Parts: sequence; structure tokens; C-alpha cells
Amino acid sequence: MGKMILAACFITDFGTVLALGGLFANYNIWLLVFVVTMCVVLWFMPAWTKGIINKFGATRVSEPEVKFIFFILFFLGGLATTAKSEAVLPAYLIGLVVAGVFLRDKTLVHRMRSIAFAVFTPFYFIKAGLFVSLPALWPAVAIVGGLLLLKMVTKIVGVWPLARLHYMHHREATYTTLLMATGLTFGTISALFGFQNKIIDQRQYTILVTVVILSAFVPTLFAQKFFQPTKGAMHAWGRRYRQRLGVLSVEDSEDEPKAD
Amino acid sequence: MLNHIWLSFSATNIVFQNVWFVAAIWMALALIASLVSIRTGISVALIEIFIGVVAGNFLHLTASNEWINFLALLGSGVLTFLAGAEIDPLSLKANLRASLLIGVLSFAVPFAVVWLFAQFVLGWPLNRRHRPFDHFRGGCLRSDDRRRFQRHRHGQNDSGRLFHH
Repeated sequence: MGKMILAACFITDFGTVLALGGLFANYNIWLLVFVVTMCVVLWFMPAWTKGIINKFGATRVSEPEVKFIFFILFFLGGLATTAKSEAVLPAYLIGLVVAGVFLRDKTLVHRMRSIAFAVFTPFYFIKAGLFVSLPALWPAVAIVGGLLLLKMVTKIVGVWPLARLHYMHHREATYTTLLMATGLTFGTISALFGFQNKIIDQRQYTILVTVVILSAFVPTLFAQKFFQPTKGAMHAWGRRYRQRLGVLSVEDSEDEPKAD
Repeated sequence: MLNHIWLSFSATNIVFQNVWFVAAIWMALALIASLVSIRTGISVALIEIFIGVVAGNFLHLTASNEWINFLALLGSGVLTFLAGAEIDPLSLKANLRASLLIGVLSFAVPFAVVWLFAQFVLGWPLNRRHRPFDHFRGGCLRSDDRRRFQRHRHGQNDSGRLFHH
């Protein structure tokens, strides 16, 4: 069930990056160049990454595979921003196509995580917080509350009935809905994109980031405190889901001992 | 007295114009965020945003340096990359129907409703320069765009505000 929620979050986030990269882009020749180049790179990326790891993997000190991934990210980011699209769109898709390679080579993903979380992401998140203006927040508390409520209600309307339709009990469906209602990274990325491109002003940015923070915090707290399903219930849902769809999986045989 | 003020001013200047000191301040904030996150069990990203809010509003820290913006930019890019790389393609395939339906509606319903709410209830119109699909509207300027254009030609201030406050 956890994997299903993660995959659903992926689809939701993909919708966000697609909207961000597509809605505000300039529809000109540069966008065409960007999309075509990205498709070609995405197609060959798993093979190239695997090749570099296999061929030069032993020379760990010079880290060619990390540099290769950064090179592709920067290059496609350059093309994306030239077309006035967003660099996160190619980054997300490259992540997806190399996910299979990363699953086999955990060292590479650990290294990239270390670099990112030690050097890059603190600058990003602290900067995202810097633009939040507390004096602008107090008069807009009602708007923040309204937007938060709207986000929660629309998530419940969008997710809960579908979770029930996919053979989840009340408790698991509520847990799934609450977890799907969070979204700190992509929420702040979207708000910062809007602020830096002067689509929204600082007051609107403050409101949106506050809603994003609250929607990351409140539902997770509720989900874990009141609706956390047991491991057995989650595995039982997996079996139920596959049985109803008539799909057999290797996980079914693995599930049995874990569920007890 | 004046001398004392001048000395303290130049000391602040020395700190904020030295790239190492600025990097040290940002890394100290990141370190505090990590420690708070470990102690409280709250995600480090959330704490970093909080620390950013405090630093911006009370310590008047700014992201004025080009290199800070560059590192932040890399942060959002690599973070998105890692988010994409976390998906196990096999489990995505195994739960495709449920994930796809829940994922699409989980994006589309809030997106559509909040867009309408922001535009029609809060009165946040889409920015003129970044209006989605602007290029599909042809080359003709709308009448209000024409008026703005003429005002600029006559050297007048643009009084048309892009957002309602």
C-alpha cells in the first residue's frame, strides 16, 4: 500500500511539474528543441548511465557517474529555461528513467543524496523561507485558512472515493487521502517559481508557502496519530487489490510471513 | 561614539562581503535545522523553511548573492531528480491503475478548484506577461494592453496594477 501511495504521489507531482513546465512556457522553436532533445536523452539515459557505471564504476574517486548525471541535469535545465519552461520538469523525468538503475546501484543514489542534502537543498529551503513576510501574513490569516480548507476538501473529494473504490477500508482510505494531501517540495518549488518570475507578489507567496507548510504538517500529524494502518492491514490491502484485479505478483508469496 | 558606530558598521560589512563568512552563516543555519530536525523528528525541509522565515524576518538575512541563488537552484533541481528516482518502476507498474487514478485526481481536482477560487474569489488574475497559452491568442493587443502601451509611450507611470491587494 505504501508503494501505491508513493506511486500516486509521483503521478500527482508529475502533474505539478507538467503544469509548471507547460503552462508558462513560450511555445516557440526553443520549446520544440527542448522537448525533442529531452525525449532523445530520456530514451538513452538508462543505457548511458548503466554503461558509465559498468565501465568506470571502479574508479570511484573521480565520480564520473555523478558528474554525468549533473551534466545532463544542467544541460536540459538550460534548454528548459531557454524555452521559459522549468528546469524541474526534465530533472523529474530523468530521475524516473534512471530509477531502475538506481535501485540496483544504491551507492550512486546515496552519494547524490549526500551531496544534495548537505550542500544544495539547505540553501533552497532556507531561501524559500526568507521570502515569507510575517507582517504580510497576519492580515491574510483568513485567506490562508480558506485555501488550506479548500485544499483539504478537494483532496478528500479527489482521493477518498477512489481509495474506497480500490478496495480500501475507511481507515486506510483516510490515511491515503491525508498522505496525498501533503506536498512540501513541489508546493514550494511552484510558489518560488511564481515569485521569481513575478507571476505572484510577496504577499501571495507568503500566503501560498504558509498553506503549503500547514498542508505538509497537519495532515501527516493526523494520519500518523489517528489513522496509521497496521503493517498487516497494508499487506492485506495489497493482496485484496491484486486478487480483485486478477494480477498475481511475487509480493504475494513474500507478503504471507510479513503479514503475521 | 561616531567612531564606535563606524567600526561596528565596517565589521558587519566585512562579514557580509566575505563569501566565506556568508557561507558560514548559511551553513550554521542549515546545521541548526538538522539538529532541530533530529531532536523533534520533524522533516528537515520544514525546519529549514522555518529557519529561513525567522532569518528573513528577524535577522534580515537576504539571498542577495548570485552564488546562493545558484546553490538554491541546484537544490530544487537535484531534489526533484531524487524525487523522480525514488519511484520503483516495478511497483508503479504493479499498482498502475490505482496509482494513476488517485494520482491524477489528487492533482487535477485541487488544481482546478483552487485556480478558480484564486482567480474569481480572491481576485488574483493571471499575470499579463505570463498568462498561460498567451501565444495562442494571436498578435493583437487587447484594448487594456493598448492603453498601457500608449501610457508608456507618453512617459506616464503605469497605474494599472497587476494584482489586487
